[in-house]
Amino acid sequence: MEKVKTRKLKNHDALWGAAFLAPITAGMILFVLIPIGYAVYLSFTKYDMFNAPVWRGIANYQRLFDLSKETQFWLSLKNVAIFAVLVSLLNVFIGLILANMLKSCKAGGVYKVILYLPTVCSVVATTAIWSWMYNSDYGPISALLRFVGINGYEFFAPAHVMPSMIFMCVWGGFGGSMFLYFAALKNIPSYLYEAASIDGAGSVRTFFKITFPMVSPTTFYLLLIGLVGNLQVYSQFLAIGLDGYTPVLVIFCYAGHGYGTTTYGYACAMGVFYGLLVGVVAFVNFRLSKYWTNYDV
Amino acid sequence: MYRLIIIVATVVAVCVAYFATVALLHKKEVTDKVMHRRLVGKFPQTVLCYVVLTAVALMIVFPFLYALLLSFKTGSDVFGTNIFPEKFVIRNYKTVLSDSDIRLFGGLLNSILYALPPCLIGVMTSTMAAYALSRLHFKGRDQIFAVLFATICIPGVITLIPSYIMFAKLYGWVDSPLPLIIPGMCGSVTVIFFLRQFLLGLPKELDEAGIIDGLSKGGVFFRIIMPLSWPAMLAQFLLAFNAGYNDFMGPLLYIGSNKSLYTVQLTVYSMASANVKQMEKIMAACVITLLPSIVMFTFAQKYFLGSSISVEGLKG
Repeated sequence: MEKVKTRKLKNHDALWGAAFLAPITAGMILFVLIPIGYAVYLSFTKYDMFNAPVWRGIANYQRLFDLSKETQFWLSLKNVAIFAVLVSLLNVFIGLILANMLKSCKAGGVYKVILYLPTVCSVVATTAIWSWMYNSDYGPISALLRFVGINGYEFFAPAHVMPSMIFMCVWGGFGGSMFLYFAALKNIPSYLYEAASIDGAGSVRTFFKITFPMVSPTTFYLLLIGLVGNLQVYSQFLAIGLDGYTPVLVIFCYAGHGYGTTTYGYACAMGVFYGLLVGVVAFVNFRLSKYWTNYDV
Repeated sequence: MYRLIIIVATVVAVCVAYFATVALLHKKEVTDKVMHRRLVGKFPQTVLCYVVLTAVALMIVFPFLYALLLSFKTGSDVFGTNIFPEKFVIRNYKTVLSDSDIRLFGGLLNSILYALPPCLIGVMTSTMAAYALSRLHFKGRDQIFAVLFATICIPGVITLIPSYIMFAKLYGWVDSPLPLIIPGMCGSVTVIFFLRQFLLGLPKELDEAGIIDGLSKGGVFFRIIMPLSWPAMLAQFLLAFNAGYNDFMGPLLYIGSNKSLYTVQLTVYSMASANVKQMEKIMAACVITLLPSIVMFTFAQKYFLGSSISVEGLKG
């Protein structure tokens, strides 16, 4: 009798569980898994959205890896890799330094809110503002540069576009990492600092021997999501009007072969390859993390 | 060029002077530790912190202030060198809100209209899933959780084109806001993680008390767990609403060219990418676009900032 009752209760759990998990499962299957399966399938075909896909085998991938012909994709891959690594590292570095400063200021709370502000703001609107900030004739930054004697600096000249975009993206992105570091710093037990100060460690040494190891899980997390996110950056470049400047980003390449053109199969091959690449970056980051992150209190 | 040299030299001189002071005090510290604590540990460092933080805060605020000042300028004043308007006009705001070609007000309404249903229903379904994954016991629960966790790591870029083809061919949803609304209603994995973490923190006795009082497991959720988890749900709702309001890629791909369906982000984008840019109007539109996010963040920072810690604590 007892046994039957327990089983009945457990069945109830399964029933409610199934009911409660139904929406997210349906969403995952319909809007994530089916598109991915479809992408993998289309990457082996020739598809123009009007006629049925024609199986082409690995022809799309052969074309992608034909380095002599497909130069644009690999060039933009190199560019986006540089962009993502620099933005992620700068966000982490600036975030850590500013979080340390916030911790030692009494008015830190006020600064924290101000510094976090760009993170919640619309990318389109802030980018529109920056596009005028970066105006080489009337923008305030070029006025500042003229004041120090640099005339006619073009922010979107091919050689300058990367630094300009990196600065803008760090401006809009370091708030998140700074805030997470601030939270992580508060969790470091104070006896570690007391012990260090009794042992006569200076502030630099304390930072590298205590603060940095203690926040290493946060650093790992930030580098992971920073790299994965910035490798897929799109909105900032599009909103600032660089969509004509194709060597910048791999996603423009990808989109350039998709929307409005007829090479959807090839675009899907690019997308699948690029997605795998981002996945590998995340995986390597995970595997390397055990050598330098520290989860002990 | 001379000015640049003078400025760099001044900066270098200040830095050298600061480091020399610190180093000198540090040397003295060997003989006088108390002195060191008081001077090096506190005074110069704190002042340096305030100086740097103020400088960074100015750099953060300046583009916003600049946009605000520019939005009050007249069209010819935009190209002046003075950052303050010669004459304050609010004409630009009136124009962007009421002009039948810009339709910013309609865009605002559309943005809110498209962002609300996925947030309200999505947070609800996510809470339900989080409840099932944390407080119900059935076979395969942890496997389902692992699979959901794995989907977070899939880069969205793979699905960009196939999703578009799917929405266009299979569902026929392109040129309508449905692709922005329907997927969000099913819930999101990150929200599930956050709420699962929250629900794991609630005492188990609550469920047992509810069962003893004759509630079903679903009743426990709706009558006990949900009322208790509203702060966490509100935080996720605000974050999701802000994200939906700020979404740019979704509307850009799916809304198409029908201006009456534009979101506010698309409106600003179409203004900013037009051939003839009227900067003062674009800036007024930007200020209006940014205002809801900034107001929401300022008044509910506790929720915005609190929820990002919990998600990070889970993954890190």
